[in-house]
Amino acid sequence: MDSDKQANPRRVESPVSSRQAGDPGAIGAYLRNLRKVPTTFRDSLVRHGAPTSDRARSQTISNNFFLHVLSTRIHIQSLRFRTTLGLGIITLVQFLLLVVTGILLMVYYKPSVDLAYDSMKDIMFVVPTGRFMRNIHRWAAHGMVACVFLHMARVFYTSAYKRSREFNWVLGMILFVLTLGLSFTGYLLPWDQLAFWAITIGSNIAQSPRELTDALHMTQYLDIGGLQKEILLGAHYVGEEALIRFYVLHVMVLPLVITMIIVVHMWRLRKDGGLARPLEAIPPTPPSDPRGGSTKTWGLMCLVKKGKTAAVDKELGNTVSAFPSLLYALAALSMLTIAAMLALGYFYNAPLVELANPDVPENPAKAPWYFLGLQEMVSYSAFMGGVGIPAIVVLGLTLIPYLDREQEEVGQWFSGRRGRSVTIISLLFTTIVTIGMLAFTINLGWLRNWYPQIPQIVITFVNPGTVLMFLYSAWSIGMVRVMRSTRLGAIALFTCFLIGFVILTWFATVHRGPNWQFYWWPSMWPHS
Amino acid sequence: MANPEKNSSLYRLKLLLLIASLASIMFLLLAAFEENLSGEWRTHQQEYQRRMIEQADSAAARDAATNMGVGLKQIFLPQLKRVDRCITCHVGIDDPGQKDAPQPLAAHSGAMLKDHQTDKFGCTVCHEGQGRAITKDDAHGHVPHWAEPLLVGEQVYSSCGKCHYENDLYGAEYELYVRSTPLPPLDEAELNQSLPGVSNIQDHAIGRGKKLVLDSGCLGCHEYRGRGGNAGPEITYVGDKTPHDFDFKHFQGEHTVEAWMLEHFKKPDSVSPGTQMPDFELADRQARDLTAYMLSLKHKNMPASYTPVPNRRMGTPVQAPRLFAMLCSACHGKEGRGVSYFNDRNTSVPALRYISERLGLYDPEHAQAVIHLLESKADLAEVAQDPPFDADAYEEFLKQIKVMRDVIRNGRQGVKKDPQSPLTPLDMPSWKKTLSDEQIDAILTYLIGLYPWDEE
Repeated sequence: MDSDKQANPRRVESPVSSRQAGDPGAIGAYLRNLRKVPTTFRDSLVRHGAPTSDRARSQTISNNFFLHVLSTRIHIQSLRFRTTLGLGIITLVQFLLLVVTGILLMVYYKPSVDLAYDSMKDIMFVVPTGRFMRNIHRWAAHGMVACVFLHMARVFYTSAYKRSREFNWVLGMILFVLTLGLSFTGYLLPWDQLAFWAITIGSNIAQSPRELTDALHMTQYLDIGGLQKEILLGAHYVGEEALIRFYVLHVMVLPLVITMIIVVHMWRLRKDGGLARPLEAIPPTPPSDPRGGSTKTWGLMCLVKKGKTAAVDKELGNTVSAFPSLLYALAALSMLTIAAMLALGYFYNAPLVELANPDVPENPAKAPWYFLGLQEMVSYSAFMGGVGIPAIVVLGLTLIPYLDREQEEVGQWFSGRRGRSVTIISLLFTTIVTIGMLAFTINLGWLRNWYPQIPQIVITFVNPGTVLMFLYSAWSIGMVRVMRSTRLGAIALFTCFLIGFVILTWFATVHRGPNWQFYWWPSMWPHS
Repeated sequence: MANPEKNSSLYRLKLLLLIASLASIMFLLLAAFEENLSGEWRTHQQEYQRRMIEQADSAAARDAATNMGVGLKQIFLPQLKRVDRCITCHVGIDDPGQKDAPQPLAAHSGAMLKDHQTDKFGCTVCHEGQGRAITKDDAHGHVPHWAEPLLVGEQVYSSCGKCHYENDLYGAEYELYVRSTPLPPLDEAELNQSLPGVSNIQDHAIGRGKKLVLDSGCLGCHEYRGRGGNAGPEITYVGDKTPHDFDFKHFQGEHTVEAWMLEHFKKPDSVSPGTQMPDFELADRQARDLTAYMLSLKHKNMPASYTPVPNRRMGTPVQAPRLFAMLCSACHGKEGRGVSYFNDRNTSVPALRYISERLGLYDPEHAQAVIHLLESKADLAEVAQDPPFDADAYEEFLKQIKVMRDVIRNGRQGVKKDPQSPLTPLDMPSWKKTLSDEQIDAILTYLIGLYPWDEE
C-alpha cells in the first residue's frame, strides 16, 4: 500500500489504508455512529423526512409499500362518511380480523373427525384467549357477510358501477361469492350437530341438479348433481374427507384467492379514479377522453400543490393530502370495527352444540343464516331454489352495469328524487308480493296439494320461488318502460332482490320449525 | 393547506380513534383479567393451599405447600380418549388428609380409588359430566347441549357396567368364550353376583335391581343376550341408549333416560300409552333400583387393559324354579299363582301351579308318578303301553303334555277374552331358542309339583 502512495501522491487516500491500528479517529467514528443509530436507522426507513411539507406528506404515502395502495391526495367528498358509509373498509377490516383470529385458532384446531370437536372444547375452555378469539372469529364472519351485502347495496344505490367501473362491480360479485364460500367452508369445522347438518343440507343442494336430470331420465348418463356432491364431500356422506377438504379450502385456498381479488379490486378502484363520489361545481372531465372516465394520470411519485397545468388546479381545489386525513379516517373506522367485534366476542359465545351424530338429525336442520332464504326456496324445488335461482340472481346482479349504461353522476344516493320514489315503491311492492306469496303457500298449498299426480318437472319451473322471481323481473322491466330509464329499472330490480332476500331470510329463520312446518314463533315448536 | 373545517373533522377523527382504541384495550384487558385472575377454580386451589399450609406438620411440608402453584390441572387419558380437568377444582380428591374438607376439596369417599387410581381412570369414566370444562355448570354437564350430566350417589354404580361383567344379568361366557347353539347353560353364581367385591346382592341398588329382574320374570317380554321374549324391546345394552332412543311425547319431566326409565317402571302406561306392559305397583325404592340396574347394562368397549376378564363358568347350573322365576313369572305369577293385572287387558294368562288339573292328574299319586317319569327322562309314548295309572287318564295326560310342550316351544297367539274388544291380547312367546327340551320338561316337572294338594 505504501508503495502505491509513493507512486501517486494525489490519489485519494482510503481511510482504511491510511490509518494505522490504534488510531482514535476510527474508534471515535465507530462510537459516533453507534450513538446515532436511532437517527440513521429512522432516516434509512423513512427517507423523505418528516411530513412537514406537502411533498413530504405525499411521499409518506407513495413511498411506502403498504400505504401506496392509497392515493396521495384524497377528495374531500370521498372522506365524507355519507359517501360510502365506510362499508368497504369495514368489510376489509373484518377480513383481516378473521385472518388474525383464524391463524390463532389454527394453532389448536385439529381437522379430523375424532379430534375436531374436542379441540373446539379445549379452545373454548383452556386455550389462552381461546374463547375470546373464537367468538371474534365467528362474529366477524357473520359481520363480513352482512357488510358485503350492505357494501353491494351502497355501491349499487350510489351508481358506483357506472362509467368504466363495470368490471370492478364484477370483481365485487366474485368477492361476494368467495365470502359466502369462506363462511360455508368454515361452518363445518367445529364438527357439531349444527355444522354437520347444515353442510348435509348444502351438499344435498349441490346434488339438486338430479331433480332436473331425473325428470328428463338423464341421470344414468349424466349425473351432474351426483358429481357435484362427490367433489364437494370427497365421499357419499359428510365425513372425514369432507372435513379436511373444507379445512384446506377455508384456511388456504379461498383466503389466497380472495386476497388476490381484493388486491385487484383496490387496484381497479385506484385506476377508476378513486371512490365514486358526487360531483361538485367544477366542470366535468375534458372531452378529449371519449370513455368519460377519469383523467387523473398521476403516476408520479409525488404531487406538488402549486402547479401550473390547468388540470392540477381544478381537482386539486377540493382535495386534501391523504396524510394525515385519510389515514386517520381509516384508522378511526378500523378501530371502531375492531372495538365492536371485541365487544361482541367478549359478551356473546359462539354456539357449540352436541358432537356431530349422523344418526340423529337436527329437526329442523337449518343452513347458516345467509343461506336460509335459499333454503326456503329449496323447500319448493331443490334444483330451482338451490342452483337455478341463485345462479340467475348472481348473473343478473353481475350484468347490471352492462344493462344500465345511462351516463349519470356517480355517488348520488338513489340517483335523485325519482330514484328515491322508485326505491320506496319497489320496497312496498316486494313486501306485499313476497309476504302474500308466503301466506298463500302456507294456507292454500301449491300444485302438488291440488294435483297430487303432477310431474315434478312442472313444479321445478312453477313454484313460489320462480313465481317471485318472475314478478320481480316483470316489475323492474315494467319500471324500465314506464319510467323510461334503465337505471330506475335497475333500482327497482335491486330493491326487489334486497327486500325479498331479507323477508325470505327472516321467514325461514323465525317461522320455519320442525319438518319445515310454519310456526309463528320458535316457542311454539313441539317438543319431542 | 390549513382548512379550518378540515382541522375540526380531523380532530373528530382523532377523537373517534382514541375512544375506539381505548374501548378495544378495555375489552382486551377485561378478557385477560377474566382468564388470568378470576375463575372459581383459582379460589378453590388457593383454599386448598391454605389448608395444606395449616395442616403441614413439618417445615419441609410447609415449604412444599407454600410453593404449590395455582394453575389448571388435568388428567390426560389418551387410551380412553378423554381429558379430565375435574381436579382443577377437586384438588384434594386423592389426598387422604382431606377426608373432612368441604367440597370441592374433599377426598374421594370410600376405597374406590385404591383400585381405580385417578391417573389411570380419570373421573368422567365413572362420573360422566364434561371433563374438558373448567367451570362448575359446564363441567357437571348441567348446560344445554351436553347429554351426559354428572352422576351422583347410587347413579355412579351404573358406570361399573362399562368394564365389569358382574352386573350383567348373565352370559359373559357366551359373550367372550363360547358362541354355541344351544346357548351355554346359565350358572347360579353369575346370577348371584352384582358388582366386584360385593358379596351380598342386596347391599347395592345395582344388586337389588338385578335380583328384582331375575325374580320378576321381566325376560318374559324383554330379551337379554339371546334369552327372552320379544313383546318388548331387548334390554341387553339398554344402558347405552341416549334420550334420542326414547319417546318423550307423553313425558313431562327432564328428557333424560333415567327419568324416562323411572316413570316407565312406576307407571308404564303414562310414558307409553296403550302398552302391553302391566303396572307392577312397584315401590319407589324398587323402581329406583331397577332404573339404576338398567342403566348399568352397557357394552364393554373400554380398552382391554381396563376390562377385567371374568372367570369362566363357575358352578351350579340354574334349576327349573329359578328359570321359571326369570322367564315366566311376570305373566304367570310367582310360583305360577297367576296375576291380576291382565284382567282389563282382554288377555287370560293361566295360573300354572294348577296345570296338574289341566293334565288330568287329579290324584297326588298320579302327579308323583308323572314327575318321576319326567325326571327319569323316560319316553312317555312307550310308557303308555304300561302306564303307572289307568290308561284313559294316561292317554289324556299324554295328549295334554304334548300340547303344553308345543305351546312352550313354539308359543301361541293370544286369545281374546272379549272378542268385541279392540285390545290386543298378549301372545305366549316361543322358547325353543332359549330352552332345551330337557329344560322345558324340568319346568313342567316343577309346575306339576307346585299343585296345592292340601288346599281346598
